[in-house]
Amino acid sequence: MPHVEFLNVNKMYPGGTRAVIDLNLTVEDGEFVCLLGPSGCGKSSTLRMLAGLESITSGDLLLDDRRITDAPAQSRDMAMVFENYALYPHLRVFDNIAMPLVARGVPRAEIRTRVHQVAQTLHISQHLNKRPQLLSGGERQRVALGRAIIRTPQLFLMDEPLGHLEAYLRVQLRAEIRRLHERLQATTVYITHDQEEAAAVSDRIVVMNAGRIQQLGTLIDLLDRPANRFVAEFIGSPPINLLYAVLSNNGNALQIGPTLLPLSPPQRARLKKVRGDGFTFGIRPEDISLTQVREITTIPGRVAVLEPQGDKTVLIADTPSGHLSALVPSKDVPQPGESIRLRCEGSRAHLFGPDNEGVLHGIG
Amino acid sequence: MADIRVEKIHKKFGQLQLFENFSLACPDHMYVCLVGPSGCGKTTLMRIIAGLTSPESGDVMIGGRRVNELPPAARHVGLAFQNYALYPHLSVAGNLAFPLRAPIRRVQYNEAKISASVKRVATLLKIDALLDRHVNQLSGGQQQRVALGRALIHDPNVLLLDEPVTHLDARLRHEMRTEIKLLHKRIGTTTIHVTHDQQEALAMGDLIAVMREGRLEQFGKPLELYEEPATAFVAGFIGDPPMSILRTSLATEDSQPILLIDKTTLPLPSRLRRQTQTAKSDQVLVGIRPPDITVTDPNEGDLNGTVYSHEMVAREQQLIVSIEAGGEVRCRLKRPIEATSGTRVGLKFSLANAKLFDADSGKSLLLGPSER
Repeated sequence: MPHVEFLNVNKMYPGGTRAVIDLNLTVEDGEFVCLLGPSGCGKSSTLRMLAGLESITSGDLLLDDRRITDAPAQSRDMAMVFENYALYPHLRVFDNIAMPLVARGVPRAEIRTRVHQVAQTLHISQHLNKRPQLLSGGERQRVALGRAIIRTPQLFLMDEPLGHLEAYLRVQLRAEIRRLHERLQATTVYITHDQEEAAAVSDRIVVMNAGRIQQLGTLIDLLDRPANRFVAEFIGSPPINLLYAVLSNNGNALQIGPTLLPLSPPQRARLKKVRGDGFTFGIRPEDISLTQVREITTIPGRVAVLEPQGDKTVLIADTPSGHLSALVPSKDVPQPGESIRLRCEGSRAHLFGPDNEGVLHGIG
Repeated sequence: MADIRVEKIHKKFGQLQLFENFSLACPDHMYVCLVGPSGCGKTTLMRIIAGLTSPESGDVMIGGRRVNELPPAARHVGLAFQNYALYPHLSVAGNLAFPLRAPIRRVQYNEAKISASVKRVATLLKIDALLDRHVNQLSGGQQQRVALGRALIHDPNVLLLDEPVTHLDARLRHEMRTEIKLLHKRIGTTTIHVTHDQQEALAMGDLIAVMREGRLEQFGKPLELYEEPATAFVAGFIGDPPMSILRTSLATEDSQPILLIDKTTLPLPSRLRRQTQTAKSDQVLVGIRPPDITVTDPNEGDLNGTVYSHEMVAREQQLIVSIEAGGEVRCRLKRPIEATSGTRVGLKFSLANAKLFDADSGKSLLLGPSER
């Protein structure tokens, strides 16, 4: 299996929209990489350039060190799976899956064996004689996956393949996709806007926004060391709390509303070097807890809304700095209207500068 | 303000009998979520309440009044759909005012009253700065606010929301959930919210109706559903992650009831031992949540299995393990292990928090009288 390299790739559309800007990315042999970002971030343009469905404005694309920047799509030998399945409605499931082999003139007997193998892997053997419209969305997407894996292409490209499906079907199918990957070990590029799905299926996540790569890494890397405010906001569920913060008058602490969080000497030194003032303090709901301590290091608030999840509840509090979400045990949770105090686990907090770049990971 | 009741409704689509004697009562002021997989009837039920679909028989009551024969506009319901269904050629103000310009309200609303209502609702939903904009200039979240505003503009007796936040990005979805809940607290209008997302239902509903194939599986408070699921289906659907359900046979050992999976014995805690007295057959389903399952080396747990799939969910590793004796379970590990699909593992179960269900009906084995 090959590896893919994007070298300073740019995509500019007529009219001047810069969809992808100076993209440098290597997808290793056998790796499963997710491009993750909101709509308009450039992830689809990137995938379409890789597939050859979209021209590359400048820069180079290499497949196994071979330049394929201008190679036509059909010569690239990549299998693509789309969000809308793109099945042939007039063909039976069997024929939909067999299509890529029929097109290549593979002998009939071999086609039959391989279609049955693929159908078994994807648990759709009982549907082979049906037409796609008789199947549920999840089953249709299994057929589309089957059509992609029936031959052994150089590369798998998947464009939001689970986007149309209901939550519980998405959970089922993403497990199937990961399983397939472990069996086939095929280099795969997958795009999604759903961070949970990205983490579930891939080895590595590429977060994109406004045409640029924001950060690369595993989910834990992205959660623990977000490069900038965008990544911090985009990754993590329930979403991170972002509060306005300034350096206290004596410069020894971070001030968030009436709350002061002490800074270590190296942290003070680091913050003094930042130009401009006004920081964004980021703390994830799982890193905030309820406390009885009425100290200046804790945040006063009032319970506004409770969102139970099961053993845990998301408690949303009104505080002097705005709404704050904390993930707390459901047992004995304070009720709406009650006054509470919240403690942030400083070692898990993030601080972003006036330019929104990450300045500190861990405070105190 | 009004309560909503559907009583003994029947509804057929072609050959398919969706509802047969279906009843549900939503008390006044409550925020009720209807949740279930597609085909469960949640959207049809909402459409029946709205008057967009008619049942073959049964009563639809709003505020104690039978509304079966009333057209949708006369039922005083506010409707918001997942695709917003806004009029692209109208401004935000035009979209909000639209329901008030319906012939049925012409007497009640003159232009002055319309503009006062638009202003009130726009302020409530924080879109007062956008009133002159065209709706296609708005973000998804803003469009959803307009759709909600339009549903609320005529002070409806009840509010019906069909997947109101499904289409939004994760962060915005969380924000809108909170806002809708706060809005509901302020206005108190009885609300029915249809969703396929159990997490959303738990987070938002005062009460949740779990539906499947036209039947009501359970109707209760969020944590009741989580802690005391009435059926194996609810147990396997509610919670993140939900319970894993395993088929076992009930047997006795030293005159104490035990569960058997293949030849493995799972001892029962006393709470469950009493419950087994109400079992109708020796086939029992046991529901176990991931924290009560420990992954061990092969042959060191209660049962052996192979990893079917594995993935990272936030900071935890989730494994789906196929058990050699049949069935599969979901496990969550704080410390990920080296595993790929096919890795053999052992599983150790703690049944302290487990639930038991009748294998035929799927119903929870009733608690003994002393615990009722």
